[in-house]
Amino acid sequence: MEIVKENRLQYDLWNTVERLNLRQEGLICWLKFNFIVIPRSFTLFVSAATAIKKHREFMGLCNTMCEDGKCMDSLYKSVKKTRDMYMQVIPILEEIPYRMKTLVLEMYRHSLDEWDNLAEDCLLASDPEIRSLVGKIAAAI
Amino acid sequence: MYVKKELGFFTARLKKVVKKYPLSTDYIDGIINSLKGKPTQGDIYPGFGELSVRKMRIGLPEYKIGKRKGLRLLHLSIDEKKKVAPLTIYAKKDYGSEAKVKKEVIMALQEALLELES
Repeated sequence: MEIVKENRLQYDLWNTVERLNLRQEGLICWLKFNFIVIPRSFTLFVSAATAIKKHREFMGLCNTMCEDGKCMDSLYKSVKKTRDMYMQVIPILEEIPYRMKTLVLEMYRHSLDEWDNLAEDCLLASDPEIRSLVGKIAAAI
Repeated sequence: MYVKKELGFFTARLKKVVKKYPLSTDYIDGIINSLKGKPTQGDIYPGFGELSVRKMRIGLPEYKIGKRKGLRLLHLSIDEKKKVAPLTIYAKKDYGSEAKVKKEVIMALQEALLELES
């Protein structure tokens, strides 16, 4: 996996994945999974939800000031990177032989959907063609 | 109360979606009609100036589909004219990547503009 440490969230995600080399059974692996990966995943789940909420708040504030949506383009790149990391983590998690992985996987899938949704919103908001078309439609209605 | 402006192309798209989820027809119609009373539903897209473009995520309880995997409704509200117009509706699962969604949205908007100009 490409190591990305752009922000705290991406760093935490990468750090968790580093600990996911648990494909073989054994007490050490079981302990690592239960006492490192699961708590880390919970923390990550909460911080991802907070980050998405903050991004949405930023988008709401930006709406009153922003006229060209250029900031959305840079936001899209960052959000896409995080989303792609989640996409890389999930197949690794699926290979883990422990039962508790279901809970962890569900958290990661939930976060992936939220990041994917945000990436979609950023892409649509940053597109000049969409803005021009919407402007024309609004004038014609 | 806002006036809802529903374009022919949107009705056609809605029919296409409803065909896949016939049990949810009333539920989806109810949500679209609720835009008249509350046009601020959904997540806002910045960069549209005075216009408000929002995306609503719609779950389909009849099919046990949550908001995450459900439908997406893109709508436009114009505060000055007190008008709200649903722009497009699509099922999330029909389009894998956001690039495909963008293509679909652009196509829908072009159709809407053609209809308004003709």
